[in-house]
Amino acid sequence: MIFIAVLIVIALVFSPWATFATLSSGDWPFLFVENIKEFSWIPEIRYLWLAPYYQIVTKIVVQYLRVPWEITEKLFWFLPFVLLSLWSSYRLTKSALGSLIYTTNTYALMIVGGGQLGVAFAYALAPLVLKFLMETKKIMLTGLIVALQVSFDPRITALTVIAALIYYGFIGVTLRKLFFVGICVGIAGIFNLYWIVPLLNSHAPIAQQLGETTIASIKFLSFATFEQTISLVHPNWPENIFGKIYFMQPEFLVVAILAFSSLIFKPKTTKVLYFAVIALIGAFLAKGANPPFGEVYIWLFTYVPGFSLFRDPSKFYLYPVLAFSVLIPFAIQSTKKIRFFSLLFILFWSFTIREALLGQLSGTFKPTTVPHEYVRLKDFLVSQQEPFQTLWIPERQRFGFASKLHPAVDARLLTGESSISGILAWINSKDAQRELSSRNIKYIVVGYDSRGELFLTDRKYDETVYDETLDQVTKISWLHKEGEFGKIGVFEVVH
Amino acid sequence: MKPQDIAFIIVVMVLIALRRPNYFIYAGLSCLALAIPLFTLWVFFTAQHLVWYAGFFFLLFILFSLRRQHKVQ
Repeated sequence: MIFIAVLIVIALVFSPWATFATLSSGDWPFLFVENIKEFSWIPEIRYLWLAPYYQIVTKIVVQYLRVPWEITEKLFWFLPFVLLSLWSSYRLTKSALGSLIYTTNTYALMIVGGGQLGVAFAYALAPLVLKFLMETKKIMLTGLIVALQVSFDPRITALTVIAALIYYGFIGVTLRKLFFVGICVGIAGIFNLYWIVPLLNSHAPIAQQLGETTIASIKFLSFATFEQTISLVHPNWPENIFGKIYFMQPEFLVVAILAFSSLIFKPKTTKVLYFAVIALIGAFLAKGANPPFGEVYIWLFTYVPGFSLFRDPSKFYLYPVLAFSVLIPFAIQSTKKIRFFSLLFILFWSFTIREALLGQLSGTFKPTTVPHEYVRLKDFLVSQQEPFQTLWIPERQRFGFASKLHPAVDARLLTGESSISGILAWINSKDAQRELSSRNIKYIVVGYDSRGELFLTDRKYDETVYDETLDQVTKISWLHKEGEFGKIGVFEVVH
Repeated sequence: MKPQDIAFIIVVMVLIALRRPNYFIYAGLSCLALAIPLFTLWVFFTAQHLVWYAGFFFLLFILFSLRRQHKVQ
């Protein structure tokens, strides 16, 4: 009965994904077949560790098996995330409630809602990796699972391995255990040489980003507060708008109370104490530079090698999530009325994530069809054989077509202006036409913002900003409006 | 230092003197429970501090428990 109740909640939460429309949103792209045909058979450094799964699997399935991208993304990413997360967390927690907590907490929903599927897959694998590392048996299998997790997100693997090392600290560190972890990490390293070697030899964007991370950016990215991290509520829950932080929703504190009440019950095993420590460490670090003792995070960032990988402290949510998935079921199973309290907990949990159950989440939880004008624009660009670039104001819309022959340039990057008014001022300047010609930019495109991500006022889509932008670009004398693309403004640069 | 912090320090000292680790859990859980109505009423400063105290109480409990386990071994 509990198992069925858990399955119903999970089915309801992820039901928006049961659609033929695309889930492209946030970091999750939309790919035309023409884009996929350009994928190489050799892992490309631009896709980093995700290359084999993202690039090669997609190429086989979409290009050769002719499965549409809208189906492929669900069959190979979204559905496997749910199944893997459920199975993996069940292996660690041995509890349906544990799987429910691990798969449908606000952190997990914000990752997948924001389209960070690489992080989500690594997250889904984390309980399984931790279980195998804790058991220190089956060295080859553990190494392969660690390697698989690294190929989705090495930062999550680093956190999982550190969690295992902390566990060894609890039960007693031995050379055998350290050797076990060392071999597993070695196997993972060998299987991931396809991105490690090129990354070390290149100036890939991620390496530059790490070099540019400053203490100011750490403070900026520290969105969560301690009361949020210890209660498993993501600071952007439920709207998932970057930088928009919500007041503490106090009902989530009950989650923390349930988890830490496990410490009252006997037997107080080492595992219970261990997971309580993991929860506290994770809650403390996931708040980043925020009080209390926010200086600790800045110190770690400044002096601990590799810590700059965690410029976004929310990755540390993994620890309280893992811990609560074990502690809460333990607390409930320590009572005399297990079934009653389990059902009560499922009801309470459903209340905390009610926005997900009511279909009010955004991002990938709001499927959309590709506007037909974007398909027409793609066909228009593909039909032209000579090489040129397109300039997108303010930046390329997610359904905007770009290829190796016709790369898209974001006006924000080209002009160095962050505001749309700044971009328009640059385009209206006397040198703009010459600059665009020298860069072989043939078309300027004002995108139709079907996802409400580009023309914003106070983080919300603003139609007037779009209208004014289109109006101002239309008035430029050396631009010629091209064809009929509905709400997309396409202008040819007259050289 | 605010009155809440002074009260917290006194409670911690009393609990350490009592040497009953379980009291730390009860204190921590009470802090969390008390923070709920305060957050609801938008009394953020005290509510936030109560959650911090709760975290510290849980940490103290774990440290005491580990010390006891170590002694038994």
